Amino acid sequence: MTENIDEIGIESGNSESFTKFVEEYKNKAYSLSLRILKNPQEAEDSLQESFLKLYKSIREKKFEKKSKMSTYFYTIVYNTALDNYKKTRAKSFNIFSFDVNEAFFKEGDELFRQNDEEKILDEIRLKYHSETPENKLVQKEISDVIKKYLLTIPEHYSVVLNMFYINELSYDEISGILKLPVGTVKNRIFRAKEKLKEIILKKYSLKEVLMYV
Amino acid sequence: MFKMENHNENNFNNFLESGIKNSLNDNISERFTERLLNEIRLFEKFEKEDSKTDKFVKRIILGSVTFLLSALIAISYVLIKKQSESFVSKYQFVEDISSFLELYIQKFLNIFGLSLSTESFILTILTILFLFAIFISDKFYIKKTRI
Repeated sequence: MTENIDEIGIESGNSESFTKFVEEYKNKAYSLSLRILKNPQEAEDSLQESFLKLYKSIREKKFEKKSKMSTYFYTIVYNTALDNYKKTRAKSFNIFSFDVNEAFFKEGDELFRQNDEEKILDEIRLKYHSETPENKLVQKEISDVIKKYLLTIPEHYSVVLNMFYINELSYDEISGILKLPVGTVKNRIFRAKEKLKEIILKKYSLKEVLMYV
Repeated sequence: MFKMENHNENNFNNFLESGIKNSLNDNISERFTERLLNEIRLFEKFEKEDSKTDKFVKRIILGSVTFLLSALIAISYVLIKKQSESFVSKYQFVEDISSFLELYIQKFLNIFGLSLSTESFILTILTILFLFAIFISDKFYIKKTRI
């Protein structure tokens, strides 16, 4: 992974190095942007804005070399997506615009409503209803359950999961970006995983699941 | 919470983690890098143009401030020198200009209900202009080089 500012080549005018950096980070950063904005086009535009901000900040020597390049970049991606999300919300609710942090990032929310859980399992059942319940279908079904689950949980869980598993950030780094205590970050990851386990084990036996591990 | 044997739990966790990774991994459109690089090229082009405009504006501001300061210093000099008889007799136009300026300043101050001597007025204006010049230099010149 590119972690050194000199490897990006912006200061030295090396566009090849910068292109390499973009190629290396674009998909992982896009996932993060998409978790917040939910809309692929908006997430892509927001990511383009983030890369431009990074480019400008290196050119203007605002980046402090003591911090990790990836952490710095993901902070820009997160903040830009959040700002764009607020702008979109403000457009739809021009009178009653509200703070996304307040509305969606409050601790103590229900991780998952009972209805959502039933909905996911019903959809999967319907999808595979006509097919023979053979074991080979189980893996596909479980994979669909995970996908649907991650789409349904609140952003403050999916963003943390994305940062941890896709952006490969440490608990400390996530805590720094989200300005949350490390304990809260760990707790969100743990709770999100436990709930997913619970949902899967409600429908499939452990034996069925582990058959494919 | 579901209880399971340790090795099963580890396997299950691994399975979940790989499932989460696969589900969260999204791919951006293939033309993204190309579009971004074009955007950066445009940004650099505009930046060059902005920098030219910036330099031009700076010169205009600096020129105006210098002109105003010089004019005020010249006026102050004329008004002070007016008190010397020999200077006035040598340059008659100085007397005319200074009388006009004094009258103008008095009338101008009357609009705001103020009564300052011409010298005090000029000193006040000079101080304001000096502070303004410092503010301008700080904003456009000093801060730019400070990193």
